[in-house]
Amino acid sequence: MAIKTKINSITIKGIRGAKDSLELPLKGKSIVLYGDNGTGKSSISDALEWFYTNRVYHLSSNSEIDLKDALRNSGLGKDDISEVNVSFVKESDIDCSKTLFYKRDNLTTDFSNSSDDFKKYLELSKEENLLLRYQYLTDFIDNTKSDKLKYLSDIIGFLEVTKKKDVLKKSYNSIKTEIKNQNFEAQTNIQKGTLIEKLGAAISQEENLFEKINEKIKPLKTGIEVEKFEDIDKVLAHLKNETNNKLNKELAFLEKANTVLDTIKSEVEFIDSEYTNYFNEFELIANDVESIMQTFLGELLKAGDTVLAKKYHKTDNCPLCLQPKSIEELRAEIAIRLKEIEESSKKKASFDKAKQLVNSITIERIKRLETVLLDPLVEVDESKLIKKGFTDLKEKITEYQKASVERVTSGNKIPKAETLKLLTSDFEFQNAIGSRIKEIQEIFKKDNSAVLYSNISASKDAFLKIKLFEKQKEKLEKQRKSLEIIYNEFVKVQKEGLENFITSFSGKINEYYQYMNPDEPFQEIKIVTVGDEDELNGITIEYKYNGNWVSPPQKYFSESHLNCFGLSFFLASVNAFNNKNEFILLDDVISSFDSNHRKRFAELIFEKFSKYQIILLTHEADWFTNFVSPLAKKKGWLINEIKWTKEKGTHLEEEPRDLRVRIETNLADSKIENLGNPIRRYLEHSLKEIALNIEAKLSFQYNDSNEHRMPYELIMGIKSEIKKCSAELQAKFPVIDRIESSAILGNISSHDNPFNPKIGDLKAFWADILELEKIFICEQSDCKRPLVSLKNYDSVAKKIRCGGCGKTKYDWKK
Amino acid sequence: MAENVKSGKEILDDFFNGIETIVHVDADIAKMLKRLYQEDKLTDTNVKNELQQLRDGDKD
Repeated sequence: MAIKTKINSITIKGIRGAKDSLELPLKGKSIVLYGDNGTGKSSISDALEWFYTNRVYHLSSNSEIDLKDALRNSGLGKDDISEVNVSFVKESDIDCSKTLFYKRDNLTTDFSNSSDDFKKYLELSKEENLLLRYQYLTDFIDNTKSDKLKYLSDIIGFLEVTKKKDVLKKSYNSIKTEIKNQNFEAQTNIQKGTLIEKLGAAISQEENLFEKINEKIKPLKTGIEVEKFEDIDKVLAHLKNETNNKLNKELAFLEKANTVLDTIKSEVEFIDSEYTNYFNEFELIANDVESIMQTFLGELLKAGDTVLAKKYHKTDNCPLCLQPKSIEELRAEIAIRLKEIEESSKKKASFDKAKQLVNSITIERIKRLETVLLDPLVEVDESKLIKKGFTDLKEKITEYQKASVERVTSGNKIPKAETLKLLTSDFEFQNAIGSRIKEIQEIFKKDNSAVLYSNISASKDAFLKIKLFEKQKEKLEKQRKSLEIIYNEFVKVQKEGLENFITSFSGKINEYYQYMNPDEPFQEIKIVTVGDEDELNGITIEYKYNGNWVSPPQKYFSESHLNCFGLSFFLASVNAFNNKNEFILLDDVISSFDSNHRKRFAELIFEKFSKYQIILLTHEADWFTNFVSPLAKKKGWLINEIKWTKEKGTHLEEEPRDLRVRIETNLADSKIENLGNPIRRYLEHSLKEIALNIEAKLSFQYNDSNEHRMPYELIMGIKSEIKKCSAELQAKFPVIDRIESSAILGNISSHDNPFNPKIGDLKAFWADILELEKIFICEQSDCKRPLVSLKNYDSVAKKIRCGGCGKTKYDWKK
Repeated sequence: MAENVKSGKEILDDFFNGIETIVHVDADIAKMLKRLYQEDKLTDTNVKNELQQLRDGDKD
């Protein structure tokens, strides 16, 4: 089984808010990251989205934004390189850095890994659902029904299925058109007429043809009995020897010309009616070219509707012309115009069909006229009139053909049907053909064998042609039937496939939704196909509300419910389509949820998606602190905070342990620049821990403000509590007083205040902090819970002590 | 996702692999469509030309 991909580490540098290197050393673990608004936590999602898709949806969807430029941290110089580095667990062969840098004044992108394995991995990943942001939550719901179908079809590869269905449908239609175009009935009737004229009977069986010919040649006593077609040739050869060969050839030519003319003459109404239909369709569209042009506007209108639906534009005016109009009104108008465009597309399809039919009908008739025009006998002087007549007819039919290729949007008109219609006068030259045939027949009358030759030859040709038409029609009908069965079967399979998928997919969406919304009136949420048996044209969402089916979901869903559906949809997509990657990034997805839904969402993630590596970003402090972090800690997730400062941009809050190592390393190396903030943060952490453990009383503060206590306030609280409860700890006041009165404390208490203390002062201050810490942290190496805390209060000895060995203890009066 | 759920490609592969077993379908047409699909040449123009060739080649 192929390895499922999890992230080992992500490092971004010079991307969006992250100026310096921001590293997430995940080692395949999930992480919850808290970042206040404006700290740039979305730099991580932007970087990852760009790494995988080469776009960042919320930046790419605005044409005024140059993506590459927007991706670069604004503090970077031209020589700086922006970089996203992603390494993977057990798949170091696909580790890669994607960089963005200036090359000859142009921002250029490059991947460090050019292996086929990486390329393949990237291609696979593009198809997967790896990232969800708050603003994408309602994307699916806000799509039109047809876009919903397209969205899902694209993901599961149904686009290809639809393409193949279209090929089968077009092939089936082309056979139908060919059958109509050939007009077998008219062609057969003309040949039947020839048979009646030459043999005096409408013959459909070979035996009857042979019988009739035998009857005709009996008086000649040729000694030939016609039992098969070769025998007819023998008869003709016998008769030919005795007759005027030249005249026979001329007669055959004239009769061929006559038959072609008779057939076309019989089709005048057929051609006229198909052309009239095409003309009407043409006029309909040409008089309303706007509506065809509108089909090009369809995409713009759809995009506009998306902008309004997603509330990118909130004021009550048109986002393009800025004319005042309510957004509801605007969307309703767009819906009407899109409906009109849909009608126009249908009109155009009907027009295209009529146009194609006229084109193929005329081409076929021109081909038939050419069989005469290409005969050598048409060039002899006696055929001048025939040649002109056929050429004129060909020109007239060519006019039809030209009209059938006219572009409807050209602004040109096509001729009216009555100006093109073939007239009786167009066939007047046929009289001359008829007269000449009669003349030859008169000559032949004096020579019975010549008449017989002509009649038998023409009958044979007519009979064979009828059989040919029958065969051609039969073949086409057979193909039409096969293609019809294949097409219907394909539609059935396609529909079944899509419905199987949708049923299963709906089940997952409903499962996740119900998990987050137990005991609510929205039940059996599902997505359903819309459309006829062979033409799916959309997908909609339904659910049961108080026992009744409701659609669309916006009807009763609140924003929070809609977002919850979006989240369920994304998670069901992850479950269904992510075959390679086993990580997802969720960026601030629960902002619209109340606390109960947030809690349920966290439980859903921890319970149903425990096998996935999750990168969870949030700016909801309460949810992070009081709910997700404790749960995440239990499950072995990493927990961290994202901060932003002017000098570092977006960066991660370091763990106190890491912070201490950094401070001490820098002090040892005498690198004291920018050490103020780390020392302040470390001191704040220590003081908060002491205040918490001795239950120091501080003034009440709400949520975040409580977290942002300054060192001075914390020291006052701690001293006050000690004064009240512990004479023994009061003896330790000198170290606390030294910290409190240090000039360094005054300077570093301002978060961004740059100051340059002397190295000696800074070292002394740091030593005091560590000494203070030692008072409240047991130094015994075997002490498992070294924090001195009231949680370990010895109520008999009245002492506060560490929670492990109990060796570090102080008097404490409660 | 349930076992009976197929991707678009699986649906197409299965359909064209079994096309010759569809009742009342001309075997040559089924074979021709299967071949064009497998060669990734299933377009309406190709099918139209192949159908014409089948008609021309069928002398019965």
